[in-house]
Amino acid sequence: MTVTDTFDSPMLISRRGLIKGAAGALALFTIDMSPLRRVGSALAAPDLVNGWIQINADNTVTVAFCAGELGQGIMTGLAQWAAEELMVDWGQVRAELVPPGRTLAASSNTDIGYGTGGSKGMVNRYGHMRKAGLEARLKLQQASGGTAVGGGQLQLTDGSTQPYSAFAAAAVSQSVTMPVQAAASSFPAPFVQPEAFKIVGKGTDVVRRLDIPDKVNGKAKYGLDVRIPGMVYAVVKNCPTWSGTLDPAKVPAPPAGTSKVVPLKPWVAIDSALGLGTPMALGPAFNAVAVVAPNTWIAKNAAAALTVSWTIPAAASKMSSTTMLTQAQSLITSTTLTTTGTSTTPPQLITAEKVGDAPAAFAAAPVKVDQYYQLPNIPHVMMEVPNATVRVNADGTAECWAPTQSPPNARIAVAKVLGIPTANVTVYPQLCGGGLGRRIDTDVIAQAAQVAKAMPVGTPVMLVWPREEDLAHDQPRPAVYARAMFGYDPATAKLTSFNVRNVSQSPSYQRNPFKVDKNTGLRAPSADNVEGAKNSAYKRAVANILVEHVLQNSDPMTSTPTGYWRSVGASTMCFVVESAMDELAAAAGVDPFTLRRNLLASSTDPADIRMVAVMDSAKSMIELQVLPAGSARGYAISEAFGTKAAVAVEVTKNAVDGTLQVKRVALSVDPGFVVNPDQVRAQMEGGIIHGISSAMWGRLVWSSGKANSSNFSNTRVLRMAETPAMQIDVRSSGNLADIGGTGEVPVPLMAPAMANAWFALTATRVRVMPFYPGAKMSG
Amino acid sequence: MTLNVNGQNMAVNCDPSTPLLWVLRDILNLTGSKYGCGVEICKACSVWIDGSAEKVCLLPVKDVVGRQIVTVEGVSATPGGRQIQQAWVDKQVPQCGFCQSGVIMFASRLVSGSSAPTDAQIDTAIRNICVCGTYPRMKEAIKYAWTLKGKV
Repeated sequence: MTVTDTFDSPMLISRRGLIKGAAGALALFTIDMSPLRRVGSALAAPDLVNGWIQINADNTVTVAFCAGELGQGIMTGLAQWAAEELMVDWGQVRAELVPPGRTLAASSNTDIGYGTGGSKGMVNRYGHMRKAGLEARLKLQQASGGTAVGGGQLQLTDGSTQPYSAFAAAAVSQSVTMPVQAAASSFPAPFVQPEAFKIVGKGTDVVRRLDIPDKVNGKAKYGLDVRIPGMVYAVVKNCPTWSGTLDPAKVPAPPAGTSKVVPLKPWVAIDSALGLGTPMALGPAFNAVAVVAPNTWIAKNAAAALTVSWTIPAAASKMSSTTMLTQAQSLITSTTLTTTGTSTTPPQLITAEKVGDAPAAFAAAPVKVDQYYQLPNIPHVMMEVPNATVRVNADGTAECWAPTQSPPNARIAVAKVLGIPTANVTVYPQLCGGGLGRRIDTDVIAQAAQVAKAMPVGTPVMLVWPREEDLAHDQPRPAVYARAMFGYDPATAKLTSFNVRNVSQSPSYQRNPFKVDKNTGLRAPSADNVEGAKNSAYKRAVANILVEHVLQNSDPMTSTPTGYWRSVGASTMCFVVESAMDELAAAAGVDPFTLRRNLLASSTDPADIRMVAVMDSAKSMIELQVLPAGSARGYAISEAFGTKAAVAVEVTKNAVDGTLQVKRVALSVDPGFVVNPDQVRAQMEGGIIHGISSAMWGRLVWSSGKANSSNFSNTRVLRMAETPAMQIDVRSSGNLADIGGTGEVPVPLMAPAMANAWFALTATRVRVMPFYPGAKMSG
Repeated sequence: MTLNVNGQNMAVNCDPSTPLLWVLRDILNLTGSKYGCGVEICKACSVWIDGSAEKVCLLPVKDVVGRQIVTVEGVSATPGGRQIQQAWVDKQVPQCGFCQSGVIMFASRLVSGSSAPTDAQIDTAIRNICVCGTYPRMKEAIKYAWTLKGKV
């Protein structure tokens, strides 16, 4: 089979034959100079030195990547470490997205595929890349009897210099001894030592992102751009009403111009057999259809116009954001919440963090704040809509091309839906046009696999969610109703009580309700919804902490969907904590920045010293300009994701409509160790904008069982003309043991800083997000 | 129908009401132009029609027969396109990159004038949606791209 159009099947063929490509598939690409390699099969004799690294005939090196490149630059950042240890120049480095399921050679023995989330990509994986790079270098040295001297060159015993490529084939089979590491962040020689770093920590004069050239010339292939001969397009129509189903006897006939209408089941956590990884499986009833056609336009129109006889339960019409809020308002003050679950039901109240006696300290506090805060569901709104392409082959294998934040989970989903062994599935991860937490789920991939299964064997099917489906059927950030009860003693300038109760649904419980406590066998939901209140920036400064999560209905079979949204728990908890801190300052008659600083400034704990440094930096930057008349400033801090961050915003009232306008943002971030300063800066810039959009307008509302978001027309986001001026300070101690994440860091800071500035400007305290619900947008 | 795309005549056989975006993406396999909303708001679909940057997610292909269509795949044939592409790389503009093709089509029209584009002009010209939030870098890159006139 030859490919006659611009499709490529990126893969690296291992010497152990672990990866099989579609038989005979050759991509009709010329190998261009792009650092983002998209062709593996065109290489004549690929030399895979280890699971991660391939030395090419032209002495470039290809570093494998098997996770989500969402625009956060992680594919480049991890390749930086591999290149550093391999001792090549950055100009020699290529990257390639590869299928999961290949284990590393020799030392690591880890599947190179992983899930992208939690801002953990660098933190969790840089060690693997260092080991991969060093192992490859040691193998090349051993194979050649020489010494790596940089630039991908070996100096041999006869004094000559040879490129790595001359010994790549011989290097593959070498067995080398890796140095012992006393701790995960300990990298003794022969790992490259920090003072000798040439690539890690360097700026754009040395390191540029490997995927950017193709992103400016139209060649970058996202999931939506996969093209395979014979491919058909399927567009989804999910049941518009939550919990509705479709009687299989009522599947509509294919409209004119389309070839098939395929009923689809949802992907839900109903497989309680533990130890199989994910408890996800196809739900019992159909709740969507896919319309198959020769192109997206025909399929999209046909799906939109299709009349489907859904079965809508009576309860659906009663499901709304309003009823859920009313329920939350009742739960938050309830004194009869269960605190232990059963083997089949979770507890209602989960204590996430408890130190001392926060309620007693609150009661005794000379100054206190007791306030409620409300944040809505928010949809993800990735620029690239959800999609996945699946092909079932005659030999019992299957392939999936998808933009995914978890290639290993994608593989499991396809295998389970098709009823074939996971080893028979090859997933080709694609570049993601945004992830934001939506693409960690494999529900769309499970739908695509169902469509592929219904088509003639060997038919590649691309399943596309039009924007309207994406927004109406998102797995949104949970809505939160929270109470903060903070106590303060002005005499000592100390926080005496830090008490937050968050009422919300739990995305993690919806995805694995079966998790039980090892000792009790009772259901034990995690409390990830309260990150940001738990592990707050003040935790070392207050003796009495109580952070609780009240679990609203998160039964995967009976609850409205929620999902992981960029910064997850911190996206709501930072708003609650940092708003309450400002309210506490107002009650105490203390400047809000000063109150915070005084809590931390006398501490000798390095973490607090770093936090005070970013706070002072943000303040200095915003104060570089005189505060204009009609403007005010607000602050917020966070140490979520293992990173210290502080923001100062300057807001004014829009001259035309009097709405909040962010004019300037000053943000200081200390992620402990900076691998790529320009990319950290980029994440700060982008996260600030994302945070502003979400604070101003971000909201998805359920009413009568339907979500009201449908397109950008009612899902407003910031445009260039509304973007504030920014000053970003990236700093680090250079201590690898301190390394934290960055991708999610800025987002939670914006809403509270804006609310705090708005209060300073107008004396109005906004406790309900977003600032301007129901905003519209036009072309 | 015959379409002139990036200087080449291409035969296309489809319903003449099919929007140009889907003809480009699904029939000609020119996937550089993107689908972001389908309702002419986000501008990820933008291409040049007779030199003017236009949204094409709802523009019927029959309306562009006989006109010059240039997509992001062909924009490097023009000085403005090359200036912007070089600037986009030099300033490391894209994050996820999905919106960037459409932005490049508008931005490339701003950098051939006798004076550098101002912030206000850029704000007015670039109304594309970028969820990643690369607007600050886009703006800096456009101003820098103007200085590359005659150099790329």
